Amino acid sequence: MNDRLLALIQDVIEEVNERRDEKIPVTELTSLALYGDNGVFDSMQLVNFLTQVEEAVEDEYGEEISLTSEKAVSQRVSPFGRVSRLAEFIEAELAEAGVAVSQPV
Amino acid sequence: MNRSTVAIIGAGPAGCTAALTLHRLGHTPVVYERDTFPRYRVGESFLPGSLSIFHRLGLQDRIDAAGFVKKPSATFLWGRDEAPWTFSFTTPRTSPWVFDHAIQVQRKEFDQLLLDEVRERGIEVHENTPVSHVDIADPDRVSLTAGRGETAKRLEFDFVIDAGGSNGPLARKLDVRRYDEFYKSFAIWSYFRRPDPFEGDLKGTTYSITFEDGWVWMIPLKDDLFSVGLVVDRSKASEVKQAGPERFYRETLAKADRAKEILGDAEMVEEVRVVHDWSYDSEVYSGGRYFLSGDSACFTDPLFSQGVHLATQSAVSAAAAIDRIAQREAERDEVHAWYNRAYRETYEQYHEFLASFYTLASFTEPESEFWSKRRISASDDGRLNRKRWFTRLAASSGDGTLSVADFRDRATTMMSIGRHQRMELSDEFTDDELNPARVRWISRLTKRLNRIKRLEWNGAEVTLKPYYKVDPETFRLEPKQVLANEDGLDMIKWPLEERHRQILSRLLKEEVGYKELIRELSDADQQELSSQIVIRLMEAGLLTGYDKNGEQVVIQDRLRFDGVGTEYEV
Repeated sequence: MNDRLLALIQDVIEEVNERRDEKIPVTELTSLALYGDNGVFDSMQLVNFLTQVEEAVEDEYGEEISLTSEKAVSQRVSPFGRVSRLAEFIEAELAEAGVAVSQPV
Repeated sequence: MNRSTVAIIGAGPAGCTAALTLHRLGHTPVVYERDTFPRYRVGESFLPGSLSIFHRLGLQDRIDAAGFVKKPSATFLWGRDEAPWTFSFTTPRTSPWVFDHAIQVQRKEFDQLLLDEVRERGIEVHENTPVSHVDIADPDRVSLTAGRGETAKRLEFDFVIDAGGSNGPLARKLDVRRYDEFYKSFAIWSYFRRPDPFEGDLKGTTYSITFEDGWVWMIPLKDDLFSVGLVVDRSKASEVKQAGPERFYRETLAKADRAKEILGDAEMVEEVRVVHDWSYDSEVYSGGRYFLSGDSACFTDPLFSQGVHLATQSAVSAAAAIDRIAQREAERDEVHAWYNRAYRETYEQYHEFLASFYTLASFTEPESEFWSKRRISASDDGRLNRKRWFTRLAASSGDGTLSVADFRDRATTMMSIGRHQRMELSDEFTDDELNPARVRWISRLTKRLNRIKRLEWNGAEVTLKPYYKVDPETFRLEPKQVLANEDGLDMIKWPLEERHRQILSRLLKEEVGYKELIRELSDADQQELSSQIVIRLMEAGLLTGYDKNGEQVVIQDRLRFDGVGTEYEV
């Protein structure tokens, strides 16, 4: 699991939390369910969150990826189920674009 | 505080909810019920929003102990040759009183449970006590006669809530009921003995199944009972008369192949019942010292199980309104204006939702009389000319933004979000399989919104106008403000404040795109809601978006539905 990506996702969640009454717990981040069964977001909130993550990824790695693409939503194992899966999906997308997540631009 | 005495006519869900809310607010309700409980009622499938109200009124333990069937969703076999689709109640539980499920109940048992709770809280209840001669002419009090024959008494109260169902005496006396020209149907139903055929995520769901003569509801209840009802055209009433209810019911149900598949060889275990006068609303819902609540005020086709929610939501609203008027008599007219507006909006929202689904199904049953009568295809459809939603829809077709022909597409959108991945009902279905379609849809919507480079405020002024909202935890009616233009066009879903008005006012002077507006609203503490607010403002006709080429960006209006999701009206 890539710690830099997890930290990036955690930053976005904390940003979301700033204006949220019911705070999203980040103590067990990797197993946090984003959407679906026991998920913390409804679909509109999820898409807004993913948009923020996309922006953070672009700022950090200089690469534009889509987390709401057909590829993302039709994955057999949903990247929105848990934070760990989202991080894995981002890592794979960046790798495909030739960006190694351990090396910032 | 000023304590008020309130006569509540009827001890069904509306009456009991009103009594419990008023009692909690410190008033003195007295419940008069014509019948003696337990008594039979239809209307067995609830929405999560009602469960939320009962939870907040302190009934959770009692409901849990009763072991009602948990309802996670509603599932539709809607239209011939369509895959099943599920309207799931899945939602993040952002507070203990946000529910991701509802319950299926036998009303005889559930209504008794409610009434027991009312009594145990020390609220006066009179069963077998019909109310008549309700007099609301005196501006300071209400008088009525309660009881039968020589034991009947003339009594006075500060307020009255008619929650007496379709025969509510005050609703009848006021003569404000308007029967619906669009849903001219009747329902005929009975009960079958069979266990729920599905495990997993379909277990407990309500089925609605179209067939050539109408549609079928199938509701799994406790003790392996299935409530199975047919909604058919009123013109079939003569056939019921001729063949008798049971034969008509059996023969008509036999035509609904997909319902029969679920029922298998289950045995019918109760008599066949019929109800006419299917849909109606009222010219007014409240005034002076009276409130109509539940079926005494309005009723509409039961496709989405909204009946009990209309009852409980209006009951809480009526109780909160009475509390407000009792403390601040000077606000009486404003409070009534709020009650009437809020109630009508909720009712019409269901009406619009249903009309869209009926229109959609009509295209899949082109030979059917039932379905062809229930198609909206023209903007001058006289059956709908009292409905505000239809007036808006018809008016908008003139400028090319929407048309009546697009109307069914809204139902199509809803269906595409909940469509199963296989044609048949199966235990393989999981709620999670709907997630990709949900995200895909919201993502498309967000991309469309992001294309908006200029938002135009439709009006010369951005104003705030007074409105009310019921606080979800205290049940007090709180004065709020909503955004409006100088012509009174408004968006009432979310109350907003001066800082939001100022942000929106920028649109009158500068070019502001969607993303920028969202950012500003987020900074003004509405992050969670900012996109929803903008969408609602667009749906209300207060905002129009244009892309970089100056072309209008049209966002398909959503079919709205109170009582599901995270935001409840009360």
